[in-house]
Amino acid sequence: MLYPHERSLVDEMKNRPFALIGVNSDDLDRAQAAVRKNKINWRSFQNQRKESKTSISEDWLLYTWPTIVVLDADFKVCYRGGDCDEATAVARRLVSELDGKPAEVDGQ
Amino acid sequence: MKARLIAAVLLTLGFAQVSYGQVEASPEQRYQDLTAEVAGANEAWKARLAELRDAEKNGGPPIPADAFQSPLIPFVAKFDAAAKDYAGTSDAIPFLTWMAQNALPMVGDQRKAAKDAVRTLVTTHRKSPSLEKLEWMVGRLDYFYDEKEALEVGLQLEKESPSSKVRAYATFSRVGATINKAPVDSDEFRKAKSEILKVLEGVEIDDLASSVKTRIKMRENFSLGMSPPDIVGVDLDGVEFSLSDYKGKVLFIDFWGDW
Repeated sequence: MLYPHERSLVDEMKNRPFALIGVNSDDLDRAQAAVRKNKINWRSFQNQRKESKTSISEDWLLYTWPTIVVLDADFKVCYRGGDCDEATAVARRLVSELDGKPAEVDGQ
Repeated sequence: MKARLIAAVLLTLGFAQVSYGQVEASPEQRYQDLTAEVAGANEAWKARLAELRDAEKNGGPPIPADAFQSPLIPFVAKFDAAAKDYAGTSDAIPFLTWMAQNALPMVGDQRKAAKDAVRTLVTTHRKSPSLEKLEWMVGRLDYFYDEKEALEVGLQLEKESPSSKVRAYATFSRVGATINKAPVDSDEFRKAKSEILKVLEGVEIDDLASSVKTRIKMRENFSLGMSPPDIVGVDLDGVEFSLSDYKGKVLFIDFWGDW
């Protein structure tokens, strides 16, 4: 599971121009239990929307789970795929370009 | 008199035999007979496989690999022979179509025969409405030809096929790669998009229309450097928010579940 990596990414990026946002596909009870159990420290959308016929993932043409999309500060796609390490590297580089601080590397 | 009568009877019988020997089944009958044979072989194959599965389940030997082999394989040569007998005429079309629809997933000679059948259909028989049955094959002419030939054959179909479906598939064959690969902000991409959307208007090919529209949406909204639509929804506490609330930050969006 990616929880520990993502938790530490959120901590690492505290006070920097970065946000980790989830889109969760579980039913609400299960999602809330997972948040408590895994100490998830990021905000998530519920994928199914009561007021909409389509889910968020359908609107985003996403059929593979888990998938990560990284957007830059101008809301442009910089990464879309399933490789968490690659997505993290892209996000770190973008944040660093944005706030001028050096990008951290896992384990350092 | 008696001898003449016998001779006449013998002659009649002989003539009848010769005639019978010369009577050939019509192309339609030949096709029906062959497809009936195929159906019979298919049923026998399924029954044998079911028996072998039952036997295996009850402790018998494992199912031999050749038991899974398609029962259609021996029929490809028969359909091919019939198509050759009627070569150049519309009578060949059902036999060629059968090969295209059934033998492409096979290997070796059978696949080669199927590819040849498709090539014959889209050239010699390009004006036949039966080409609608080929569906994706007309939309992927690059699978059957090199790039230059695929373009030529496709353009001819676009010009000469009486079927709007066939023309739409042929247009897709020509512009599909551009839609998949050309930069979204290029004139090439815009032209390809406009052409394919125009031919899909009013043509009932749901699968093609939906896959083309999805592909265009994917390229225009989700490929690298493009801006996806905003997300507006509720969080796990039921509080509404949107992705654009975070604009100006780098966003790491994780589509996740607790599996």
